[in-house]
Amino acid sequence: MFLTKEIENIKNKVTNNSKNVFPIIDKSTNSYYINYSDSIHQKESCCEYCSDFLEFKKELIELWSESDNKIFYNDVLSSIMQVRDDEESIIEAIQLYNYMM
Amino acid sequence: MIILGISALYHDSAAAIIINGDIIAAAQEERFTRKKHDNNLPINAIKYCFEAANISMIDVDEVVYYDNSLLTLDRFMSNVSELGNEADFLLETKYKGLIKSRLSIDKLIRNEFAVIGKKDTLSVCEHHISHAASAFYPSPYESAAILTIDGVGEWATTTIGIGHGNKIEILKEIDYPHSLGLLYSAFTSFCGFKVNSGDYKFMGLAPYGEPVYYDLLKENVIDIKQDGSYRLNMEFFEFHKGSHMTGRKMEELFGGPAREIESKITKREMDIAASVQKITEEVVAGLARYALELTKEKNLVMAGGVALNCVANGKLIKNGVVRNLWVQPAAGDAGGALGCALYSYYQINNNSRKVGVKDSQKGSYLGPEYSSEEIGEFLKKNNYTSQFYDDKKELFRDVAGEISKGKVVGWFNGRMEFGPRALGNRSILGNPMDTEMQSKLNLKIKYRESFRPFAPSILKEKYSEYFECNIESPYMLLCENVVESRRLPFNREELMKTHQGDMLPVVNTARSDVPAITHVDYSARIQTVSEDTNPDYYHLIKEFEKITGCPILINTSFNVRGEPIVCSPEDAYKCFMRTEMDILVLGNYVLKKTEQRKFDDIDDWRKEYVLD
Repeated sequence: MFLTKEIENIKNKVTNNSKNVFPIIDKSTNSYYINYSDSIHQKESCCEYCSDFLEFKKELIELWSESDNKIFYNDVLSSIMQVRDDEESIIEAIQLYNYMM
Repeated sequence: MIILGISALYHDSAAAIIINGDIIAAAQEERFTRKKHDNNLPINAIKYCFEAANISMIDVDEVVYYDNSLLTLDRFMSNVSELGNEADFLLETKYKGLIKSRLSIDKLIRNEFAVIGKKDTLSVCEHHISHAASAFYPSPYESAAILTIDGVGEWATTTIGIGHGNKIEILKEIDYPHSLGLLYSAFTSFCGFKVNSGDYKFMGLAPYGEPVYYDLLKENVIDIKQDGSYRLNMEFFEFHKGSHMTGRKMEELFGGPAREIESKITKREMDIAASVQKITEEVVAGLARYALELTKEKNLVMAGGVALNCVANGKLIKNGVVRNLWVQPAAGDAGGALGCALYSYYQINNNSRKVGVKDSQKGSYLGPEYSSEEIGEFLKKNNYTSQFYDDKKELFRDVAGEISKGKVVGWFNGRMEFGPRALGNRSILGNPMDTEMQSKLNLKIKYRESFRPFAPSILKEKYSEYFECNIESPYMLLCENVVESRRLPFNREELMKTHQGDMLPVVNTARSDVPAITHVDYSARIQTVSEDTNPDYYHLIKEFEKITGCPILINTSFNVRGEPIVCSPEDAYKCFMRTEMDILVLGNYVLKKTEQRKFDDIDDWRKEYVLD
């Protein structure tokens, strides 16, 4: 069985709190473009889980800005790889994700 | 400076290699593995690139992947959060792949090649930046507005940017789940065609219908602003849940369930295709106008899967939205391999860029080629009967003569094309004046749906004699109408009614003096052929013109339905023998079907390829 207790926990958490992580359609605006520089996806923080997301994204943005503009070299990936290298299961993947956050 | 670009693990994996900015080689993995849209790490394509550049992995200064998997992870987890308890399928099917492959891309490369270039480091480029770079850097423009539109990258689905000299900058974007590419794919799926591979069919179906659902779509499904920006009403879509593209609400909107794959195509599907095509053209035109206005540029370059919609591209020219347009021939994900390598070379490493009169895509003939010796050896080894032509002029004359008599020719010559279109090096060729050639090619050679149109390859200098527009289309990425003087009276609606929706008699009714390449709305997806880009193909068409007076050949990709375009002489021979093709040309060798012994094809080859 692929689904694990950890995923179930996350699911329960987000089921109770989620929605509107995607941008809401607002027909009153004249344009749906967003500026690229603002687009590192600061979605609204609707629950603890999403708050973690924002933190994660902030970390990403920091790493991003330290690197060479839009290409960033192995900094982030290698830190993930080190943790992940000897792991196979989705449980570790979730833990890895939590580690990133 | 040697840079290897890789696109992989979504669909259409590919590799590209550039040396000091010069595009040396590029190829899709599917051509080597014979698995259409192969999404695995493109090991064979990478090896081919190394061979073409005469290098090995340790010689590569930079290895770049075309997509940032961490951002994709971010989007994925947001998607899961949005879905809550509906996220089961997504978690069970997609997450595993994301963690185990995309986030492990460096590990996958190292496992195969021991190191990742000289630095043993993988660089990562954002998906839409890869597309943007693939559109701008090879273009013949010093500066241009850049438009990228696809299904989804990490978050972005549409971006507008500007390119100037050796730099590009993304200015605006529209994010997932609002996606023109996914809207198109959703309706492709709703009408019973496969996502990605079926998009072309859906586009080809549109001229059979009327856009009667256009208003319905705009009122319910998509909100389009004046500036081309758009939002989807997600109540009608299911793609974010991972299992289906559309659900019950869409079925209710269109008065019945989605069409079953391979079932009869009804007027509803034709009308949906026409309506969605109209929406697509409206959005693309709006985006293009805004991109040009925002950047104050007169040139436009495009990439991303939606940029392969040659009908929408053609309308940009026809309706005067833009005069100078260049579209990356490998506009889909495969082209991302080239784009990320070019981005690294110009933007990150700040190398200067020289712009010529012509683009630097080299006709997109960037794949493997086989020497006369190699082909001769293959034929000899297998004892296949063939005729060798020392003089290619004679070959062109003889083959053109056969085509003029209605023979269908498999044409395998020079370097394989990079991108989804066969551009005269891996093509099946036929006589465009033959009224029944379209259905013959579809049903007996390609084994695909009878309604699907065929494209013309026309001598560049003769273009305006046959088609309404006078802009070059070397990559078959523009649709234009046949000039009025060549059209024949043809009432599609009436014919459809007479034949109760059966498309075959409609297809077989002549629409012009080149009926086999004239679609039912008088349009054609054109390839202009010039002597300097592809001299052999040019001279073949020239010979055909000498015999028939017509400077056009039907050009369709050298494959059968579900099969990737042929790569090697062996692939070409198999395809030749498995179909009702009459003649095969392998470089300087000509093979006639009547002279071949029975092909010992033990396996049921039709099971070899999954129908697209």
